[in-house]
Amino acid sequence: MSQPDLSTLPPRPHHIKILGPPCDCKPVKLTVLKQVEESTTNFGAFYYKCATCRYFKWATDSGNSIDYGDLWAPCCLLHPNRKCKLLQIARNSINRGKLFWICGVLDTPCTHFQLFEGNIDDYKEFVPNFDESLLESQELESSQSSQIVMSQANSRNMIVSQLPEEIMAEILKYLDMIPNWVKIIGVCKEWKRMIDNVIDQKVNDGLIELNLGFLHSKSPFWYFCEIFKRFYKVRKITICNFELYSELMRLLEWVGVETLVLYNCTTKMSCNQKDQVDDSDKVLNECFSFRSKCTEMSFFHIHGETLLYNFNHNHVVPHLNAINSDIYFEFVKEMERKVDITHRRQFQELSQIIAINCPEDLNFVWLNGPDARSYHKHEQVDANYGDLLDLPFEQEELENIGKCHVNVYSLPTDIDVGFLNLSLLGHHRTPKIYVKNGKKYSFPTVVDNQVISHPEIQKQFILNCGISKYFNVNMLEIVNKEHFDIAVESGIVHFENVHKHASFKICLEILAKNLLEDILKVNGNERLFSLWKGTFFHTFSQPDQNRSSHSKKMKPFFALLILLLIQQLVSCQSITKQTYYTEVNCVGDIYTTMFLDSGSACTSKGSTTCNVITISGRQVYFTQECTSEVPPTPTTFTDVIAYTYKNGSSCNGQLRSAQVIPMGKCIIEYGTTYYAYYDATGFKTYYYDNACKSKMFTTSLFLNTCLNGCAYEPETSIENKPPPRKLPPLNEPNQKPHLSISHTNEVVNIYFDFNDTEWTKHDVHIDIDDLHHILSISNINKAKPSFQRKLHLPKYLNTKESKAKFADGFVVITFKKTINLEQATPRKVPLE
Amino acid sequence: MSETKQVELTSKDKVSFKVDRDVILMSGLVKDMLEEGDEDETPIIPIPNVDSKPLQKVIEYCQYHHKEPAQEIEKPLKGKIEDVICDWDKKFLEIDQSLLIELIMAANYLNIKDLLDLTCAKVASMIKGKSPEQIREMFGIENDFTPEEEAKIREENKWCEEA
Repeated sequence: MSQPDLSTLPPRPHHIKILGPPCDCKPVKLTVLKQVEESTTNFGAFYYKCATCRYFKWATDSGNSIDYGDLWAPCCLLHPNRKCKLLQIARNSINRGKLFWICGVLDTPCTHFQLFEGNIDDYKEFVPNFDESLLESQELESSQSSQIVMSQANSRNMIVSQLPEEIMAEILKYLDMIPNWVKIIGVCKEWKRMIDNVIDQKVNDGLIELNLGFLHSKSPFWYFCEIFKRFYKVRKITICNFELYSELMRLLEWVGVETLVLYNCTTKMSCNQKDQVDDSDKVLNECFSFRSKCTEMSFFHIHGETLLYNFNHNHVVPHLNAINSDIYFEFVKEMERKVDITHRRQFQELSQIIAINCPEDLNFVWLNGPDARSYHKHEQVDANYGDLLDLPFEQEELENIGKCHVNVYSLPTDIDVGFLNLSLLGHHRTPKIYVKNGKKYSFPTVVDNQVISHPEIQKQFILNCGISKYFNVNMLEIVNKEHFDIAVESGIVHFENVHKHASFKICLEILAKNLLEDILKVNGNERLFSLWKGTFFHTFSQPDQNRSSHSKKMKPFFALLILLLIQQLVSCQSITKQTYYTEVNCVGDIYTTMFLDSGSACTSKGSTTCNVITISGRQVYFTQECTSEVPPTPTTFTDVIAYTYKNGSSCNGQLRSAQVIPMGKCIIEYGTTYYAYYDATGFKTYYYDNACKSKMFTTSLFLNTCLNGCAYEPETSIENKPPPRKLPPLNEPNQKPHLSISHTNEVVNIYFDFNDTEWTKHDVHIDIDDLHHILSISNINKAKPSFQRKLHLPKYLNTKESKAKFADGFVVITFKKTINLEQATPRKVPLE
Repeated sequence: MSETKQVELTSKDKVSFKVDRDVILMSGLVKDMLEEGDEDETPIIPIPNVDSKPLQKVIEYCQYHHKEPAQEIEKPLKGKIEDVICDWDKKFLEIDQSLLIELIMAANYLNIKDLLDLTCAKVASMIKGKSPEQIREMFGIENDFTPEEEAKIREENKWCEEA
């Protein structure tokens, strides 16, 4: 055995685990590169050793390392110290003439293979079997048939040879880009060519949104390198259930990410730098202990090699121990080819980080480069959360959602980054986000937590951030029916396929309890109720010995339960022909009236079916003797101001049907002379005058209203035009006009109500930002109170085709709906 | 105008189909051609790219869907396609693969967006969640990668096996 040649091997970085040839174990393991540390004649030499068997081999080379001069050459994963060898493909294949890299260590089982990309003329002197003529034939071939490359058998297969690329692109639209698209690349050459093209096109368009939720914290670093090498321009990245580390940020800073969504993520710095600190330095020690729990992001000129964490320290994240810095440098090299870095800054495009249900250890250090003359501000920035919500939300509302914005100012060019921290589905923990700038770690910025209580916004965030698939069901805290509905609608909870830890039990409990309560309380049969309740909870509180068989058992039980409920519902209707009319026992002046059973509550014929329902712990009673065409007028119920219906309305005197959503709870803003009516789908409130004959005005969502007992009325049934509005008065000087929105199949109308002002169309300025989908409306008449409203419009509205007019005291802006702009463009048909 | 106007379509293999004008107007191609052409009694439109078998399917589809517009199919598909389409479409899609591919081509050529969407989604649904090997087997595709190429692809895309 020859002596290892020390001169060819640079000092080994201690933490890197370099793998060697396979050993004699069964099953075979890979050996690990080690260095002689005893002071013997072999001191410093390298050898491969297996941890279990007796395998031993000096890490020597049978060939000389190739000197590429100043030219770059890759190393393979197993032999990071040895530059690869360049060869030319001579055998007759499609790649004939191309250059490729193989492992530079010759007597190794390493099968490293990498196609050469670069200027052949610079490298050809290093290719031992170089043949210029092969190159020409390759060029010729590629110019002749650069498009279709497939085997004969596949050329006869329609799904390979007949499928045009546009159709492949259409098919791919129905699949998730990652991992599905990438998975099927390996089917055949022609598919690979088509899918590669489609991906490259998407990447070039800068429209890629990557959801990396399928990766978990143990996924190796190089996965990310591969992903971002391929998807080197990404608009939005979603990471779920992950422990973030600084090296990951080193990759993300290249890819032009605008929105970073972090669901249930914690942060960790990969290097524990405590060993550098003198124990007596308390402040510094504190800083470093903080640093071990945070992830660094820097906002400086992009420069791959400076900021990679030196690998000479102990890694806190265990799997990073195996990181070979070459993987990162390879990534940087590739990115430098693809991205123009002359004036590029790290995270140049980043405008918002959205942290959802992140536990307490979410800490960032935001660095502003070596000079670090930076500071932080606790201010709001203009981050576009509207894109994540499909309903038109007012700027004001969005600012309320995103109260926890923080700015980071990086010198010399400032970058604003919005930081939004959300709690969804009952997850009310309050993580602290520290943002520390520059070298001094003395000013932690604590960012407040924002709990979004509105069910519709919660649902939209879950769906649009793409986290429902990766939602950690252990973190689900279903506390009410709304949570349950969101969980089911957004696909977090499935009835058919219950997750091991899923809150299936809770969901069913809530659902069944609600149903039972609604139905049985109505009937007043408390005894039966408690009986059922007992049976139900008994069944569900059985220990889960065998989950699968348990689920199977549950199905018939559940079916039986539903049957019983239906039966009860039917019998319920027959015994409710009793008269109830009692004064409402209420707190304050808030009343909610509900009518059960469609069409029977307040018809003119008085054939009423009325029931007692418990609402928010207060009892509300109903009259049977209701003969008016309108709901009980204020003369009957002097204080009642709110009626809640579903699937119908009586408010314009044309009652057709009225139905109550079970489990009603409605807290409604009230006045003395009008009714409030809630539209569950559009989230609007309608106010009516005393006789319920005219709609007085409408106002949009977010009145801090609990919409649990919401009602629905088709828009078309409101026929009367709103009369001049008297209430509430515009007493504030810069009162904004009221906004309301109506949908039809084709258009969305946005109304701004200027009714009781004496404004004309010359006072109002409307501005539409097509790029960001923002509508702003403001007063330009300086003599009148100033206002400005900004509205983020959903993406499905075509802002370019909008009309605005001023009529009857309203400004109406109409937008056309586009279902999908891409589909609207004509498709090219290849003619053969 | 009591009689409904008809159009005659001639397939690649010279089979003629008489179809109501309203029905076949679902095809963007036919629509354009009819607008250009004269108002013949029964205009004859050659469809030289489509065989009679898929053309018959296309007509079948149009006859049903010109009255009942298809619901848009979600992108990307969350589950199987069968969960999101109507029963008629489900039955309609009970065809063999080669006809399915021909149908895609026909829908593309005739520019019938809803049918193209339906058939593309069907293929996507067939591909979804399957490994390259399974897909090759399903569609009878030959693996024409060299072992080196295959190893390289596998190495580069190893991360997606996590999912």
